[in-house]
Amino acid sequence: MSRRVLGTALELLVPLALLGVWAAWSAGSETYYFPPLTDILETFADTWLFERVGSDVVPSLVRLGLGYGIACAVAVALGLALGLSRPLRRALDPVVQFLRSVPPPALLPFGILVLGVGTSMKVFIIAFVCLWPVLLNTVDGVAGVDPTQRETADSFRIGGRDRVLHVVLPAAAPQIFAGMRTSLSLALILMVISEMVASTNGIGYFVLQSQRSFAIPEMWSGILLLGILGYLLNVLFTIVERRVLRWHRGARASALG
Amino acid sequence: MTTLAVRRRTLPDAALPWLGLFGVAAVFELLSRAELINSRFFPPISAMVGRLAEEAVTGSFWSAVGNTLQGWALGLGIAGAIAVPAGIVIGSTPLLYRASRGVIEFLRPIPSVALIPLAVLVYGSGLESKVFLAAFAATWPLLMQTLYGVQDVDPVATDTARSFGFPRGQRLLRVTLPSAIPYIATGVRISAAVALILVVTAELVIGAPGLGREINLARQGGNVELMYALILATGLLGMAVNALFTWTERRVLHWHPSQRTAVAR
Amino acid sequence: MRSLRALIPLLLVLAVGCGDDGGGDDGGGAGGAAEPQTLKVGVIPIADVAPLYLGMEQGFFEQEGLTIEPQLAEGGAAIVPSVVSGDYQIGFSNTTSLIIAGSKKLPVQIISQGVLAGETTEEAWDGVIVPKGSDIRELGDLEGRTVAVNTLNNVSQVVVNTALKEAGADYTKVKYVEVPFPDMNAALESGRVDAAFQVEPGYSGGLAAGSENISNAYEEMAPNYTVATYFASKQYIAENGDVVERFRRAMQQSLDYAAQHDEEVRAIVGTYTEIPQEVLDKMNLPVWKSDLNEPTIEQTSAAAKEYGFIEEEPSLDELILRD
Repeated sequence: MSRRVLGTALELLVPLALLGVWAAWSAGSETYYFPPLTDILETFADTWLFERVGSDVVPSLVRLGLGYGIACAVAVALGLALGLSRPLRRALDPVVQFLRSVPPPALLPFGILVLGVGTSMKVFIIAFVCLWPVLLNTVDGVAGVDPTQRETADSFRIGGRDRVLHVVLPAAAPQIFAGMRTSLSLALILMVISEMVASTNGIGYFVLQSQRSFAIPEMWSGILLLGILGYLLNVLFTIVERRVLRWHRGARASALG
Repeated sequence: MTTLAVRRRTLPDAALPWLGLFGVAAVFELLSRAELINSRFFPPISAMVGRLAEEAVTGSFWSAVGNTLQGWALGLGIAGAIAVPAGIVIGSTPLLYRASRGVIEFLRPIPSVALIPLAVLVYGSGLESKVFLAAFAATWPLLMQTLYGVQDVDPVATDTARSFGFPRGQRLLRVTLPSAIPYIATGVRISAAVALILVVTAELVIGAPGLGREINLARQGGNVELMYALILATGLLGMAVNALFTWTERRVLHWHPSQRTAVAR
Repeated sequence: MRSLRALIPLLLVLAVGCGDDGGGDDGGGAGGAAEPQTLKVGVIPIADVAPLYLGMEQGFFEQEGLTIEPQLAEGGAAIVPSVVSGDYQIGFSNTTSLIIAGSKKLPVQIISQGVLAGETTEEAWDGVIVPKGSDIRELGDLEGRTVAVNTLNNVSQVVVNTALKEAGADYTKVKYVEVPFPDMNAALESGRVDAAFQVEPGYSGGLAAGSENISNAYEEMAPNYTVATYFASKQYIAENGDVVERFRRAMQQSLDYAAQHDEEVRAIVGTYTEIPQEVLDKMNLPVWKSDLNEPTIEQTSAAAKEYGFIEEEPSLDELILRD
């Protein structure tokens, strides 16, 4: 019990301690691009609490949610198909490997051409890149289902849909979630990249415009916000994961507790 | 009783990857030629490939590829050297995990693109900047995968080891690590891809020498065919990197269920 | 005999005196004695910086003992931090970005002219273009419509807003969207944006595809409007004033040379960009002069303040390196 308390305390205190170090180190800073932490925090409060929430944070998060959601849905469906069918896997593997290696900024011209300069282009960019970690993990998870489980399902004549829902997916679930977690942080990065072009609002847009107009404390405040958002999204993700994988965690009793 | 079927590489089987590749390429070729997508801005695949072939005989193309690979190798190496040991240590020590979780979860989502001007300030616009950005981005997937792998170990196995009197170090080496290796292997494969993408992105945005910069030069010059030819090259490079890691993975993990071909049913 | 011996000290003194004079010409003398210096210059792969490359080819920089290493960057956003940090000694950037930097007290200074707009619209290498068949005929029609610009809150909006004002239109009713130059024509022709402010080579490319020009905004801003300049950090200038002077001299020669030799410009742009040769042969070339045309920089500064891109105007005495 006390270990738990210690753990929670550490979790909160360590970041705070590091912030303290940062504040102290940057206190007298004259360097243009590394202003004192106090300046940054002040700018943060002015900008994000709560002035720009509606105008920038919400649109960004909506695009992020849509892109991430679409990526996960498509990736799990596709990953299932590929994981279960070796011929399909072999056929599409080169294509998958090729498409995921395209650097995101290189997608922008194509995105603008096909989808224009609005929300759908940004959602496409986010979804396209977030697809791959989830897809690869799903394929790995599905293909790597313990042969004993598969044979058991065989001998019980569990086929088709039931097999997928009650044997394959649950077995692959931990790995699928691992992929989704990676994609979540990618989604935030992609959100910024997609707002690099043809944007009129958004957190990434704000950070980039601040960069361009040499508003450095504002830029830092945006980076800080991205970090906080990432943290919160992850906490959310962990809560969901814990519920869904409850049975698996119970069986595996990981050190997370 | 199931019989062991020796899987011979039948002709159709070996042809599958090519079929997939050509199938998708044909779709895009048609989209462009039929002007469903404006071919001035998205040339047919055949034109892109032709242009790439022209580029592939120039020295400047290969020196750009060399520059990209150099940054990639360094970035991935640094990421691996940091993420795997850290992941193992943190993952197997609950208190350490709680202590560092806040920091990891906070630093992880910072988009490397947002760090670009800072990287440029500290490291300039050359190799070091892009290695820093690539290493920063590639560390996280590998760290997370390692953490997952270490934490996902079968508790029955660790308990068994403990009851047999294995000290902690031994348990780590003989039970946890082997169980975590598939996760780590996937992590390395993902990180390799992330590092490559980041290196090319950094080259694109900062102008560090490499394929990314060549893509940007083509883009700014309005030379659409060349731009897509170079994007193709980047994709092919990614495929090569992945093929390398998949082959290595298969060799290293031949004992793990996911690698064993299914017993014939 | 005694008189000869008396001469010896005199002769010695004369000899030493002559020797001193002979060896003493290292004080601020001819350029030939200047220390060779290598300069990293941050540039963008566009036609605007052709004079730099021409100057290198013609040996103007060599004559001043300078070796130029151009560093191709994607945009001003990457060049300014590199100059401020000392990674590059000199950079090329549009004037508006430098004014914004100056207003935020970034220690940069303009040291030389870079590129100008045409004197009249005949010499224009930019324009607000609309796609074929558009119902937009003049600037006033842009109210309520979308206009693509390469960078928001920068030079494009400075000149287009001013053009709109001159035409009696309300610039606050125009919706600006940021689209990089290479993607602008695609966005325009597929109807994603209603108009675009393009520069060469996209400008000619757009016109060739049937788009129409409704305003040469740079030229309408002012004749020979200073679009971009070369700059350095104040620290570097303070520590290397001599080198900066030599760069300025060589640059002036290069700018004048480029203005006189169109063909060579078209040839050299192909060496550091990937613009196809057919495009290079047909596009309108930017304009180069060695005069900074400072009044247009003042004009830009005032406009930037008016349109809200900066809060206060920087001091031009601080921003521009005077002779």
